[in-house]
Amino acid sequence: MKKAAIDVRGMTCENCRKKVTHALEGVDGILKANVDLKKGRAEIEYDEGKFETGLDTGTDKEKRHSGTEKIDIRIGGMHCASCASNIEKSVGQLKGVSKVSANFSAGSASVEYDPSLAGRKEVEGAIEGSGYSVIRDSITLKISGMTCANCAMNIEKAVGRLKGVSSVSVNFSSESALISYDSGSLGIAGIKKAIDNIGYHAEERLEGEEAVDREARQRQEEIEKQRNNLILSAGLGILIMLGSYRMYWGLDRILPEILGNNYVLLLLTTQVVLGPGRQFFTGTYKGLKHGFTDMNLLMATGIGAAYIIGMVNTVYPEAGLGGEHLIFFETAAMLTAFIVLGRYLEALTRGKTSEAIRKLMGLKPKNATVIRDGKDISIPIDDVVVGDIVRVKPGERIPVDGIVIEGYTSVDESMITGESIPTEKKTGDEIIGATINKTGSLKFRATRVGKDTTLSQIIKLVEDAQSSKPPIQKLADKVAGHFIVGVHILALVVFLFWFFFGYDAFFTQSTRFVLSPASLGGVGHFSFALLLSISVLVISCPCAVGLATPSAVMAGTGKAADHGILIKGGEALELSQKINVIIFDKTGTLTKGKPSLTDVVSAGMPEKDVLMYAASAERGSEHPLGEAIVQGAESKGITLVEAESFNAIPGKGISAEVDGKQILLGNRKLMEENGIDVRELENGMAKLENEGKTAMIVAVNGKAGGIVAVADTLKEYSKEAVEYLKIMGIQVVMITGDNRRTAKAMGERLGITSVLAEVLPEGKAEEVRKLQETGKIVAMVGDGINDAPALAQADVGIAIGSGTDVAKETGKIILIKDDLRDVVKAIEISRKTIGKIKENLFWAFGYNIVGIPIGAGVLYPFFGLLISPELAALFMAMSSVSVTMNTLRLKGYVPSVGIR
Amino acid sequence: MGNLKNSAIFPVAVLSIAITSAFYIAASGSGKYDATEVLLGSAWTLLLSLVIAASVIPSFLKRRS
Repeated sequence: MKKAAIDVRGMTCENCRKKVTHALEGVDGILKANVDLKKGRAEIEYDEGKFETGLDTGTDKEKRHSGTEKIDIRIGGMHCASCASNIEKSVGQLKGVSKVSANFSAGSASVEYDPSLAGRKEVEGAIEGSGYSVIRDSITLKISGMTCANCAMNIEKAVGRLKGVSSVSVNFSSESALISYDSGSLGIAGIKKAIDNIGYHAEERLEGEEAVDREARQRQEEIEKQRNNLILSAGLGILIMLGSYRMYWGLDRILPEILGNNYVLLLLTTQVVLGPGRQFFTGTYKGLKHGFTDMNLLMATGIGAAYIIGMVNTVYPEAGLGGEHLIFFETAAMLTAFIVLGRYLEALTRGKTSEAIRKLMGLKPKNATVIRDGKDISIPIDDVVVGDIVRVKPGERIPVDGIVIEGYTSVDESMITGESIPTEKKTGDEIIGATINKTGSLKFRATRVGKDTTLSQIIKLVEDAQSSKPPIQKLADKVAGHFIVGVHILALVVFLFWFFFGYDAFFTQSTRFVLSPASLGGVGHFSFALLLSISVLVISCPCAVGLATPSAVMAGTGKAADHGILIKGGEALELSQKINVIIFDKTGTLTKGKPSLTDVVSAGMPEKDVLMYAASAERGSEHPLGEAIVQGAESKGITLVEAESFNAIPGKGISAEVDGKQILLGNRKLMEENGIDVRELENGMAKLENEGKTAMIVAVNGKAGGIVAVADTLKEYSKEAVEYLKIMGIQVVMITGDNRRTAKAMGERLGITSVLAEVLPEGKAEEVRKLQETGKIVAMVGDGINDAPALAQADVGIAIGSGTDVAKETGKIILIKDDLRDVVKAIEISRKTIGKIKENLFWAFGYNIVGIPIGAGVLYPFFGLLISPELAALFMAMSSVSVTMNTLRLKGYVPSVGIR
Repeated sequence: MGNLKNSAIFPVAVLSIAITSAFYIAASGSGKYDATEVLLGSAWTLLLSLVIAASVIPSFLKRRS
């Protein structure tokens, strides 16, 4: 007899437990089954000869073994075997994990755990918590059939339940889903099926032009559909309203009698309800069929109830619902018209918030001129292959990424980098696809085409960011989710109150809705209570709550992309506005990372000669300091001479013969060894060294002639960026491997007082962690390659000046161009966007907080104020529109620094 | 709102019928309302309570299990 444990999912009650027990015990060979409802597990005892569990025959990626699950996780950021050991330690500490093995060379970890105690999410969390990244497969699906934010939540729930899915974020505004999953456990087809099963449709996003065309077409179709619905429902609705109120305002004198006929009105209303209003009923049916309910139900119940009362009062006036004078056809028709108006305006404005992506996609030229067999031929851009020689004439857009092989020109890269000044390009320079060749003709070799081009990578990053959700939205979603059930409870309470108590206590025969000429005199308990109940349902629709965050995230990330700033997702956006410490790597970030000549000090000979001797001696050197001196001399127009007998003295300097003179260039030690008196230069040396510069003495024929100094120079906008950040109330820290004196000097030049010096590259992440432990939200700005661990450790990693391969960058924010002022812009944009989200949520909830009591008739007993369901619908539509309009104000936002 | 699984159908039905019955008894027992109003009122109560129960019960069952 053997024992085994099996996971059982989907059990919700004691009855399920019994069913599973019964089913297992019915299997030949199973002697006993003990099913635990709480743990979702069944322990079986079986006869090995008669029964084969099959527990060891899972896929390579995932096996079940006696109640344990095994998963393989791909990990990024492991640099050595000790990283693997760190991961094993942190994952091994998790409750339920029985075995963990991290492989540094394969960049993966294999973990076995008890699924009742731990899960993939916990394991991935532990890995990421130790400073490494989990590499997941991700896909963006285009979703159709969503009508409100609640639909997005339904899809998230359904996909989130699938095994192998790490995260799912559905964006109602962009009609897309960003899903992070393990391809070993789950295929794309499985995800699409899960979405299709609950009544929506998912398909993979297309790349490039086809995607732009399809998206534009779909959006246009939706706009046109809602516009036609609006024209029909509003046209007929006005007619129905005039007919219903024919006896008021003297309308009977101008309107034909037939328009006031209830049967004619019924006919017209039927067209509205079954035409433009049909979408709400079919949406409700689709949802209910798959066990989901959404906003369509609110609309359908409202419209349906008003229509049925009208129909009953027309066909059978004696039914006791107010008789033939209370038909409510205008309510059903105008309710439909206003809800459709809301959907039409939403479709229009949703398109505007996603303009950034369309703008980026529109940058891609359609054709390229390539040289094949010595001839220029024009081919579609998708046919260009790596290695093709491409010709670009002045004024043309560069089709793909490449390296210039012939020609000289200036290129406008503003659409990609945000930099308005054209960049000069010559042979050997990299050029970016979608930028514009301004002046000269170019020939270049294509290095990246199709979805690998910088533009395609940027589009992908922005799309992914726009599909992701900041934590603030998760809270709003949760509230909106509970909100709907709360609204139904409220609608029931309102109905019961007005039916049993309110009607008798407060109703008078002269009661009328705001803006309505007709009194509700003949209305009975049921109809009156029902109308108020419908108003509550309609006015409470949390569509504006659902739009508040995604529309702002789309607009904010799009605005950032306009400035060459790629913000990878909503979380980065939300964290960026909370940053209170920002750490800059020194070399390559604050400074150019390349030494250049800064000072020439003479002692007894002209400065020009000091530099000429030093540079001529260094001419044969490949040392970066030597190259800096040679470049410095050349830039000053000094003619250099050929050096003879060049000799490098490691750790000290060089010796050479220049123009028949013996030249020594190096540190004090070199001079001492050669018996050269440097006392006269000592003050100058000390001063330069205190400024963080590397000073070298130049001796000519055994006599000290002067000093040349080189140093890493600051980037153009480093100081300005630091100043702005300090004004924004952010503590600025500089981190470097340089000695304290050099670091301090550089810090002083930049106005940075907090300097972390002599920090080895691997220690930078540790320094970030130390600051985080003090409760600060820390951003790290670095070059994205050497600083990758520190960028990953920081709350917000900002990779700067990455050039063209943006997809490979570590960091939650990527600055395409090498301008530190973009750090300020990124923080400003994130502050503005989160501010906009808060404003939107305030307005969205505000509408509901004000609207619901009015809809429920709270003001009626005091002021006789009652709002009809159709006015409630107008109020609701306006809330969505005002939220989106508020978001669109972000488009006009201009950062305070580095305005183009 | 909830995803109505088979296991939740029974409790959802019980709860909504209970609420509707309470309405029906109170309305018809008071003698104030005519039969149509009581009937339509019951229908509306049933619809709303079905939506409420279908939203609340699945998550309640999930928490319990």
